[in-house]
Amino acid sequence: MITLTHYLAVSSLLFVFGMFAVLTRRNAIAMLMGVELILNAANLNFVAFSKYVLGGVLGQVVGLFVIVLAAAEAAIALAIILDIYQELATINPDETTELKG
Amino acid sequence: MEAVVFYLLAGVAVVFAGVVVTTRNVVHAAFALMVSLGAVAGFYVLLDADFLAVIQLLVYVGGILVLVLFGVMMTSGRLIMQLRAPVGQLLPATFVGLILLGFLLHVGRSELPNNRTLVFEDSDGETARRVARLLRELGAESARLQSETARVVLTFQGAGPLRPEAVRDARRAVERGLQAARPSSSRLYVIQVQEVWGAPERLQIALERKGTPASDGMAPLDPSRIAEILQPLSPREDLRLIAVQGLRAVRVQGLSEAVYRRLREDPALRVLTPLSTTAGLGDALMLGEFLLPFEVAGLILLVALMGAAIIARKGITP
Amino acid sequence: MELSGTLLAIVLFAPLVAFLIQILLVGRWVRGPRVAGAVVSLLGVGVPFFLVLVGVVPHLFEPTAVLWVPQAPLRWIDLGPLSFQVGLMVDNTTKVLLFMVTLVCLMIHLFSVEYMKVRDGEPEPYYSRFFAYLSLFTFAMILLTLSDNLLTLFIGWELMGLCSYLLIGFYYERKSAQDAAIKAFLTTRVGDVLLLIGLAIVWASVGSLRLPEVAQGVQAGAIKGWLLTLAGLFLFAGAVGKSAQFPLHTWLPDAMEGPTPVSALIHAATMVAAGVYLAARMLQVGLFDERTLLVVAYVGGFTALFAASIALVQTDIKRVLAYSTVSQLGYMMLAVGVGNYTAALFHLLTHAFFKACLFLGSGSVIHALHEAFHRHHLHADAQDMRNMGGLRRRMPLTFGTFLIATLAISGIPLTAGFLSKDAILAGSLAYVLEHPQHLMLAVFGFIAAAMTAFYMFRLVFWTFAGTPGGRALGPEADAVRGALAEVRESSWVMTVPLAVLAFFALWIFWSLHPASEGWIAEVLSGAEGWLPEAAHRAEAHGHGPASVHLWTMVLSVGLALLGVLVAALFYLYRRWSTERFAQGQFARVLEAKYGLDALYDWAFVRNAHRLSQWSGRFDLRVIDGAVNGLAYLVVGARHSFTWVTGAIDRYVVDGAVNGVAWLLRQLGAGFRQLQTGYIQGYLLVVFSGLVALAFLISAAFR
Repeated sequence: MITLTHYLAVSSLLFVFGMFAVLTRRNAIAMLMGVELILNAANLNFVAFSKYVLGGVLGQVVGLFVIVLAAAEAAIALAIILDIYQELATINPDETTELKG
Repeated sequence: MEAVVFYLLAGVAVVFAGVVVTTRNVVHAAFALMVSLGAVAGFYVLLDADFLAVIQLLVYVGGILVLVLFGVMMTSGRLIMQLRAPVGQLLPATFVGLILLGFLLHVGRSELPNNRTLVFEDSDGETARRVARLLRELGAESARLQSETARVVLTFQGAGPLRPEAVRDARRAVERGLQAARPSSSRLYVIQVQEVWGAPERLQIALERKGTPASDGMAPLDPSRIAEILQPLSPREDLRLIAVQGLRAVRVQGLSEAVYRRLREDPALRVLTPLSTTAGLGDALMLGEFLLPFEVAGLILLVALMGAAIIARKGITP
Repeated sequence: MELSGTLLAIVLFAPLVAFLIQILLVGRWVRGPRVAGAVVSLLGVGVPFFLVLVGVVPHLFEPTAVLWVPQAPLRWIDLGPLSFQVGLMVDNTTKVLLFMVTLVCLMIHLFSVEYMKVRDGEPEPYYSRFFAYLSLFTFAMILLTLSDNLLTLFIGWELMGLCSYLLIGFYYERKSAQDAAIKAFLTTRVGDVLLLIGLAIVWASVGSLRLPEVAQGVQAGAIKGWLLTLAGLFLFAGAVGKSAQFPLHTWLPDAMEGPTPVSALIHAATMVAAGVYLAARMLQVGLFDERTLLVVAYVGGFTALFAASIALVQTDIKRVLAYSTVSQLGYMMLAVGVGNYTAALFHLLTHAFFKACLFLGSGSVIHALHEAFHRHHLHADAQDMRNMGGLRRRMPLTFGTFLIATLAISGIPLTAGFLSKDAILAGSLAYVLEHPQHLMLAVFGFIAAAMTAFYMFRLVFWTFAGTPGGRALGPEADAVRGALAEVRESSWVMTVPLAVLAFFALWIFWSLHPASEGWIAEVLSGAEGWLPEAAHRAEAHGHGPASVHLWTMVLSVGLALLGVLVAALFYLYRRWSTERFAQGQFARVLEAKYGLDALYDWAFVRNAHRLSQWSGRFDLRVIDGAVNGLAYLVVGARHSFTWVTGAIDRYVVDGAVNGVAWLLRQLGAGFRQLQTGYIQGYLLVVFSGLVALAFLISAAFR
């Protein structure tokens, strides 16, 4: 019998993996993949709660919005990464320290 | 069976997410991400969110990943690169990650409030008694039991095999009938058209209340009332309403996790599976309360894509 | 035509639509003659004016209860128990303001069609952008006027702040224009933040921001005592910033860096009017109590005198007008402060017309001079009054309208300004008779009246009388004289608005009787239908016996004529010389504007720079240094430690210490990365914060 807890466990793992990718990868695109993992973990939670707790389609609606916004975010982020690459010839986050105080 | 599929998907999703985090090749990472996200789509199917599963595959696997691969191609000469972080960075990240993981798992395991709901088919009234007895035995006094008509099925009879226009007209006529009876009431129902297996000249339209009956203060569905509203209705000359059946059901609310599980596994009880959520989702997005947010989200996507095109254009930065 | 919600919506949103069309389409995808852009904006304000003409003006001359209120206000932001309801409302105050705003804005738009065509001999490159901003400005002011609640009023208010920034900095290639724009934005921001706090207090205690509900809440005592005073003072601080009252007045003269029609718009119909409008509204709903009103009166009265004294010595034609605006706004605040909002709003209306006329008239002069100087390749300042003179014959229409507006602002009989200024002075005199300890309020008002007449006629004499270029200085003086002889009257697109505005500067529209307030006083003081009964007590002040009125008239006209006479003796007949005065200490103080600008520059601007530099250095030296130092310390400790322990346990201890040192060094390196612009370092902090927050929340809900 699969319960909500099972889904929460899986999404927790996905979230932490995503976070780890965002924090440690040395390539901006790989960091972006981590962000996608995080978003998917959150989405999975929405849909699972929608089925197990709330009923109805509210969670799915939110999930759909998250997917749409993830697509927008990916497009913008990749464009910015391309721009950074053209400017600095690298997408290693350790070498893009223009913000350094 | 569900458990087997779940564990399979969970294994795939987690293992490949691990690959995304550890591999040294960006392209490998991208493909591992694809598999992991595909497994998430599988979870959506398990969670009765078919439409979302399809969108997940289309948008993520079809769209975003291709975008990511393009990004990889355009930003690096070589595919294999030093992806691994120095220890100074790995240590704190692992630390925070482990704390977060422990916390999330702990929260996920902890008791949820007693607010689970189950709906059982109850054609003869026997189920209601059985559920009530089970609840007594399990000591679940806080649960509320309610007998209601959970679904109404309208059957239409046509002259010959039905064409798509006839189906469309029938659905529209039902919506109008509900609308005429009580303004905005058609938004309260999930309406689903079903074909009748082996009888191409027949058509069934199922109506189900959205959400919980108490939420809008309106009485639950009543087949005789629905028949009364829809009886004068003849969507087309060659289509007649021949039967209105109500599906009786028992709704049990306020269940704790353990009682919920016990009831759900009882072989004598039949859980009423709700009408397709895809139709409900469509209703909510296109006709219902989420129309405006949906349009806004679409607009944001459009603006983002245009903005991305402009940002990525060469020579935009001085 | 009946006033309806649709009509009001068109009035409100037409300028916004014009703005959107301008900013998105014109000049990019729609190409055509440049005037096409102006036509869009003209329609954007012309249509509202026409609708006001047919919908509101028939009800203009009679006090009505409420002309239009929404059936049900829009629930705009709905957060369960918290909800903001917004709607439009047309009452006695709104209807006259609406008429004024749409008319003056239309005239300014029309004037700009010609004025903005040329910049330095080239076609203006940002013609349609200018009109877009102008339309947005109009929208913001109409929104503010029509709002029945303080929330959308505040939105219009802030939108105006943005537009003023954009328009003052319109010639953004000039450093001075950039600085002036930033100064205007930041100075009014000081007031806006305080205003927001005031709104928060009102909302927290009354539970609504709709004017009728606020009035009822105040009536019922939902907010009283010192909290009411505090809220009133904060709200007034917003008005101080927007209406350029002392001590936040410094932005307004600098705002002259914008094109002249912008000055007219900001100074006459819109931005500065917003502050007085807000103050009058607050007085109506009862949010200003006795203590606040006293502050308002003193700030207003002092500003009136203070700004008038600075205007005495300015030589830039637009700066004189700018300080006169500050001074006149001070009058209006004075009227609010003595509880006479009728007079304040009346003066706001008449001032809008004659000040717009003055600014557009000066714009006409500047435009003509600019053209003449450009033809002669001169670099003389077309705004310096010393480079003018004798323009009476060359620009008769401009001169005539300018003279009418000058008479109005000086408070000479048979003008609108006389009526409204008289109402204010009578109100303050009546107040002083009631409260003799506040004698200074009336003194401020009357002295400023004399000063106003003096500096305005000084301006007229310098600009229009005498010989062309008679006061010109420097090597180009002769050439300037030559150029002035060729100045031509502006085209009808510019003179028609002048004539229209000058008409409203006369008494006849406001009152048939040239010496007493006509319909306008009745309308403005007519009961606002949405106000609770007792809220009209504010009107009890400020009228006094009829004798007060008579004495005021005699006194104010006498002082105004005295001012004109002195100005004429100085500048027209040259009987007296100003040289001794000009060399005195007092003139220097006035020219330095009492040193306030310099003081602000020193106190805020310079110190802000210093603070940012200092914190940058702190980040670099102290924080980085501390982290580095930690690492060095650990390494140093390791060295000394191994030196002490000797060879026996070198491997064991050394290894352990090495490990610790290595770990700490790595940690130190990691922590140093947090400070130095690494994205992932920042993200680590974000996620750590997330974890902490999650624990906190779970602990709180256990």
